[in-house]
Order: sequence, then C-alpha cells, then structure tokens
Amino acid sequence: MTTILGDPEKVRIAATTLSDRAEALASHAGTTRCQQAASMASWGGTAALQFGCAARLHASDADSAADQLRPLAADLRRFAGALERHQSSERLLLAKLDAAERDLRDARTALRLGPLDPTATSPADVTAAVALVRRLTHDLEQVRSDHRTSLRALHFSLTTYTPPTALWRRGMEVYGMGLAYWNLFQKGGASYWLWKTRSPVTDPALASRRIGALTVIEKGTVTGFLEKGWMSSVFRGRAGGVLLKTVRALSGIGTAEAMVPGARDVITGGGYTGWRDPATRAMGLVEISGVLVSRNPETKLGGALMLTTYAVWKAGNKAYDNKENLSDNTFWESTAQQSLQDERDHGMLGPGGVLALWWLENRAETRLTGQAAERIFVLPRRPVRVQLPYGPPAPWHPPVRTPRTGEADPFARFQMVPTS
Amino acid sequence: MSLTVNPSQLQADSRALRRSATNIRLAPTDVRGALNAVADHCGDGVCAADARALGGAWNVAIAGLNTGAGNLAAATQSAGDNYSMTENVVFTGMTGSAS
Repeated sequence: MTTILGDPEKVRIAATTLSDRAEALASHAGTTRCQQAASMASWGGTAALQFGCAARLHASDADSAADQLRPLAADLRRFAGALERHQSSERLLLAKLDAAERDLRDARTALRLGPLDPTATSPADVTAAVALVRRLTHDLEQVRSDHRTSLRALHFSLTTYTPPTALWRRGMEVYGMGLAYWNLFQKGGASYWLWKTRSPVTDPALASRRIGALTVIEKGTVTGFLEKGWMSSVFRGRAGGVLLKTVRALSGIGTAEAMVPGARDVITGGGYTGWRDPATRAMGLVEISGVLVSRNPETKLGGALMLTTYAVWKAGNKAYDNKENLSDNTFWESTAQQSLQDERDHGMLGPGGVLALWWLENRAETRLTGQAAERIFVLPRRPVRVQLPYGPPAPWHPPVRTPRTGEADPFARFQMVPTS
Repeated sequence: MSLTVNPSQLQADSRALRRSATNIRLAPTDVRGALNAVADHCGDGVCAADARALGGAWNVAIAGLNTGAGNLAAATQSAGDNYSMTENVVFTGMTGSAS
C-alpha cells in the first residue's frame, strides 16, 4: 500500500498557473511604468505629481508580488518532480518487497517441508531472502524519508512566499468590516431602546438604557466615549474637575463629530463608482440629517432610525465589497489559525486558545479531499506484517499411510514447529 | 499653480492602463485556485492548510492590486475627460460670445 499521496501533474499545472500570473503582474507593472512616464510627459501639476507617485508605488507593488510568486511556482514545480519520483520509486520498491517477502515465505516453508520438497531450500537461501527484504525495506524507508524532506521544503515555501502587503490589507479589511457591523449593532440597539422608551418611563433601568441610546445617537466616537459612566473615575479630584470642565466644553463638538462620517461620504461618495457613488452621497446626507433631527427632543426616534438606515447601508456595502472573503470560510479560519499559532509560538496561548487552535487545525485537516483525506488515516508508515508463529495447518483428512521403516509417527512431518 | 495637460493623451493612457488592469482581472481567483489545487493534491495535511491560507492571502493582495490598477485608470480617465470638458466649455463660451 502506497503512503506517498498526491497528484504531481495537478501540482505542476498549479505551478504553471502561478508562473503565468506572475508574468502577467510583471507585465502590468511595466505597462503602468510606461503609461506613467507617458502621462507625465504631457501632464504637469500637483495632481500629475500625485498620480506619478501612486503609479510608481503601484508598479513597485505589482513587481514585488511577481517576485514572490515566481520562486513559489519554481518550488512547486520542484516539489511536483520530487513527488513523482518518490511515488514511482515507492511503487517499484513495494512491488519488489512484495515479491521478496513472498519468496522468503516460500523459502521458509520449503525449509520446513525439506524432506517432502523436491526443490529443497538451503538456510543460506533464506538468509539471502531476509537480507533482500531488509535492504528493500531500508530503501523504502529512505524514499519515504526523502519525501518527508520534500514536504518540509514545500511547507517552508508555502509559509515564506507570502504577499508583501496581504496581512496589512487583511487586517484593515477585517477591522473595517468589524467597525461597520459594530456601528450597525449600536445604532440599531439605540433605535430599539428609543422606541421602547418613547413614552416617559419610571423604571431606572429603562431610563439608563435611554440615556445610553441618546449618547450613541447624539455623540461621535470620542465624545461618546467620554460620556461612559466608568469615565467618571477619571474626573475625580481637583485635576479631574478641571479635566471635566474641559471635556464639557468640548462636548459641544459631539454633534459635529457625529456628522463626520456622513460628511465624508457626501464629499467622497465613499470612493465608489457608478450608482453607488450618488447613493452613498445621499446616504451621507441621511446621516447628517439624522444627527440634526435627533437633536430635537420630539424627533429623536426619527433621527435614530435615519442613523440606523445609514449604518445598514455602510454594513451592506462592506459585505458587498468583501463578498469573496465572507463566502470563504477558509479566510476566517486561516486568519484565526495564524493568529493563534503566533500566540502559541510566543507562549501566550491560554487553555481556550489551545482548544480553539486544536479545533481549527483539525478542521483544516478534515477539509482535505481526495487522496489527501486518506493520508490522515494511514497511521503506520511501515506496513505491519503478521507472521503465524506456526507452520502450515494440518490437513483436514490425514492421509492413511503405512509407516515407513524407522518412522515412528506417520504424521510427524506435519507437526507444528515454531518458526524462528 | 502651473498646469500643463494633454487631455487626449491622458485618455489614451487611461485606456492602456485599463487594458493592463483587465489582463490581471482574473489573477486573484487564478492564484487562489492554483494554491487550492496544491492543497488538494499535495498529499499532506499541514502543507494543504498552508496552501489554503496562502491562497487566501494572495487573493486579498492581488485583489488590492487589481483595485489599485482600476483606480489609476479611472483617475486618468476622469482627469482627461474633465480637462477636455473644461476646454470645450471655455472654447464654446468664447466662440459663443464672439459671434
């Protein structure tokens, strides 16, 4: 049974794809540089300089990506070659080993049945067969060891040739999405509690909820943070009193700060093109209007609903922008797995983290398909061969024979003799 | 502020940039697909997990490059269009007032 799994041809095709894409990226970098130079020849001014810097940076990024993909493709090709070589060597050695073991079995049997077998085998034949089996087993183990070395080299390549800016971009995307959903949660919650307390309430808990909801609606991030109850401990004492007065004076800018996201979208359109550009500008207006409307005690709920609508729009846009990542479980799982592995390597992983990492690593294993999945269940690297401790079984119907001269027991040759 | 511009040249550059961006449009999914194929066929669990994680990272990175390329093309296109439009507006206004 072969234990070196994998399809070298598929790995080779993947390496070719990576090479092609690396060349496409390098070509794109060259084109960008050419067009940047051509544009700068006929375009002068501040915007032209900005464009020149951005284009040069972009071309440099594309070149870096191509430079990382090329050696990765080369290593994959090298691994595919090694995999093919090791699989064919293993197949050959397994066939030889199978034949040698059969020969050894036959030789041992023949040695035991020596008086009956016309082609009697000498003990030297058995020794030679044992030596052959040992040599083939050793060669097989060597091939498997070589393959494990190839896998270690592949593991090194797969963890070395990472994209230069991937982690930063990934972190920013995760942060941006988290922020959008957190805003939606906050604004939605505030709308809910304002709806629940639309009539005057006497319950202190509900009143506290209403105050919290009003802070979320009326204040920005920084000014809302200063309104938190536990911040009061900071404002104790004389210095704290001065600080409190300063904060109170600054809290007037809370409304302006709350309108910043909407104003930014009105000005930039969220950086979108097509119909999402005017739609985002319109939603920015909705946000600004929501903040203003919520200043009126009679229309606080309306303002909260407008702000929630804006938060829904932002969260929806984030989800659409990251639809590929959201639909890909491996993105989240691999991100979490890498973070946990980093923490484990630095000795900062608690018991919960260890359990989570164990679960994630198991999921990564069980996600494998095809041959690779079988690999998990092939535990022993060396096949276990069970040899019966006794010789061949006695015949079902013992032959009725006349004892020869000097032969005490007619069935003596069939007695079970322990093998060495 | 001094400004020199050739709007039609900018628009032509934008078209070239857009063509180049189109050439790498499928690169993120291709690279990710290739590394997923490596994960499926390398025959080892640890390397498979590495390959999948790397595929996800490359997908994000090249998608970012893709977006950047599109933005550069859109910026030059927009600049060329706007400069050209301004030129036409001024030209039309001047010829209209002269006639």
